[in-house]
Amino acid sequence: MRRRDGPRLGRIGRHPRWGGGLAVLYLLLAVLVAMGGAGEVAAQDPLESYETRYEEALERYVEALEVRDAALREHDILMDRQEDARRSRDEDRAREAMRRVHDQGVQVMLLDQQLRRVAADLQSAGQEYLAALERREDELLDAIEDAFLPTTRLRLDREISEIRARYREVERQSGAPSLGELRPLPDVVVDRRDGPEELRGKAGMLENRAAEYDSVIAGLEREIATRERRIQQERSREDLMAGISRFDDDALTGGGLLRPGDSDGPGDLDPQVPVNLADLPLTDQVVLLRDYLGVAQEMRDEALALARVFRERAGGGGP
Amino acid sequence: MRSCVFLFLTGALLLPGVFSWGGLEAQVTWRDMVVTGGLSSEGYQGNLPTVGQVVRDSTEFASAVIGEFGARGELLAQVGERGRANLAFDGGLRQFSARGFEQRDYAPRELSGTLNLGYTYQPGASGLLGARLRLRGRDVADRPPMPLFLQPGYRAASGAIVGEILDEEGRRWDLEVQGEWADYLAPAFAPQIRLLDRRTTGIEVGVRPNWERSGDVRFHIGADLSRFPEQGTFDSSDLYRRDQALQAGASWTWSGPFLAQLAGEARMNRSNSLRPEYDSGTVRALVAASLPVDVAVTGYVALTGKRYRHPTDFARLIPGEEANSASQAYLSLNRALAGNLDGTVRLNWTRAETEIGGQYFQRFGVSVFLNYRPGF
Repeated sequence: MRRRDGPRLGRIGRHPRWGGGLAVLYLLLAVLVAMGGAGEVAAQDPLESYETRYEEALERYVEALEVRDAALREHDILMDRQEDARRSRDEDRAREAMRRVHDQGVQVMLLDQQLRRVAADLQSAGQEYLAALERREDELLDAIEDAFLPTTRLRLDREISEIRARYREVERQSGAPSLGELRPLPDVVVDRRDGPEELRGKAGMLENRAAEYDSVIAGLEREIATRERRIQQERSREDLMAGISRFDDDALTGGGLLRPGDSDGPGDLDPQVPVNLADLPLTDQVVLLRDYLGVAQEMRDEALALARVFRERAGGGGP
Repeated sequence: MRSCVFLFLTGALLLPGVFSWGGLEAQVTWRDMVVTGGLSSEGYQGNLPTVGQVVRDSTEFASAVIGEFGARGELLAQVGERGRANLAFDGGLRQFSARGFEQRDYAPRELSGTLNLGYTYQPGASGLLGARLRLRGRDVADRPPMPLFLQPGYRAASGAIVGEILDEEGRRWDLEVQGEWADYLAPAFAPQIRLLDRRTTGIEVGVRPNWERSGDVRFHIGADLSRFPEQGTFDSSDLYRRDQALQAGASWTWSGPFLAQLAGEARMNRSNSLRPEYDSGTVRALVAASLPVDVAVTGYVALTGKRYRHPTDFARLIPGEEANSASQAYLSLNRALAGNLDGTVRLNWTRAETEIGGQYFQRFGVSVFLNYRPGF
């Protein structure tokens, strides 16, 4: 039985302060590597019920994503307005703008949590559906072995092809977060009413978030290292082949070294298909991952710097 | 020589202009640009006669120190929503200092240049159309005698129309129709090199099955028709040599912790001249892997077996047409030395047939290269 347990694309979130710039990264990194095997599902459950459950989960996920993205955009707008208000030196206006940014930040965090929940549901429903598709494919393969009539075999063969196509589609759609989602920095500020306990609590919240960023950073560094190894291998191969053919040293073997195997094929150029990280050239993947790594490092440093400010205001004391 | 330089400089300097021609508003990107320089030491064994060599000498073993310089690059351009163009160039200079011959030492110099222009257009989600044009030139000065065999100089142009289609089962079918024209450069005292001139047309059909977890697999079958306008057949009713070849094969590419490629091809060559009728088979394998201390190792092997259909006391082959008669092995170790610079140590071995069918010469050597990638 085929097990699709290789690397797959998952989703990575973004920090609202990098809103516009991260939008492209978000799309391109929208499905970064996720691991997972098919879950155990009772064999008697029909395929349709899994499909329905999966479709509903996908719909919920898309809705939640749209709502969260709209909230992020609104947050970006409010931050710009807050900056304008601050420059206007109108204290009332600035205070009101800050309050609205804070409220919207809380809203984004809540929607982000909601998005993660539905993304987990989608991944789970997707894995169950994939497992059901695998079982169905096994049944069809068994049936095709027993089929006597050619027309029956043809029909079963067509069904198997459809099942496999559906499998790949679901696998692509349900790739869920794992390598790392950059949650936004907690929107915490020093309030005049905050005592040392509250300030240390806020510092702890920021330090926890920094630790999350650290795990994302470690994952990104692993992914970058993997791709850099592959780039080196491919360059080594290309250099060797170019060196052999440049002066016709391969002509004695009839020329025609191995086809690269990475040429464009139908579908590869389709502008309607969303761009996935894995579809980009390796060098572009590394550039994007490095950009994202830089963002993650900045967010980690900022979280730690803010935490230090809170602790200093709280009168010292380690975490 | 001037045409090789022309091809090279055209590729290096003028290519960006091509993509802005006609207001295509194409977004142009460099895929890769590599400048290579290196030194090699090689040995050549096998004192075998060739009618095509411009000089006669006699030695069982010769050696050479070789310096070479080369550059290659490729420009990609998205043309409109569904079109993509690419323009690639490759060129180089290789200077030998060869010793061990009886009459004198030789200093052959090779200069080569290649220009590839391609365009692909995707009319729908399941189809792809394309065209390719390839120009290649090669010059050799002070071409030495055996066993240091160097391909003679030539000018060649080829073009191809390609199509790919994705069927309902996810298989990718491809079709290529191509034509090639090649004229060899013969000095006045060695006009026999012109015997290699050829005109070829061919067709190839391939399919990549939609197999899960198997890497990229492709099967192909094709046919070539070649005319050799300078080669006679000694048959007054059919004066010039014409070959028909059938080939079929498969290739497999896999990329994971290491990169692996394996290909096999069988070829059947038939002709109105009995001399070059043969059946051959070639297996090629390539593996690229990472070793400790950031070293990448690449191994490439091509092994060929060949059987002639008719016995003859005359020369089998014209030098330069020894296609489908050689076996080769290369091993390369590569390591980054600086940001855009890497170094390569390469070992190579070749065993190829001379014009006397069934007799072989060998070439083996070690090379050190530096590859610089400007990064634009």
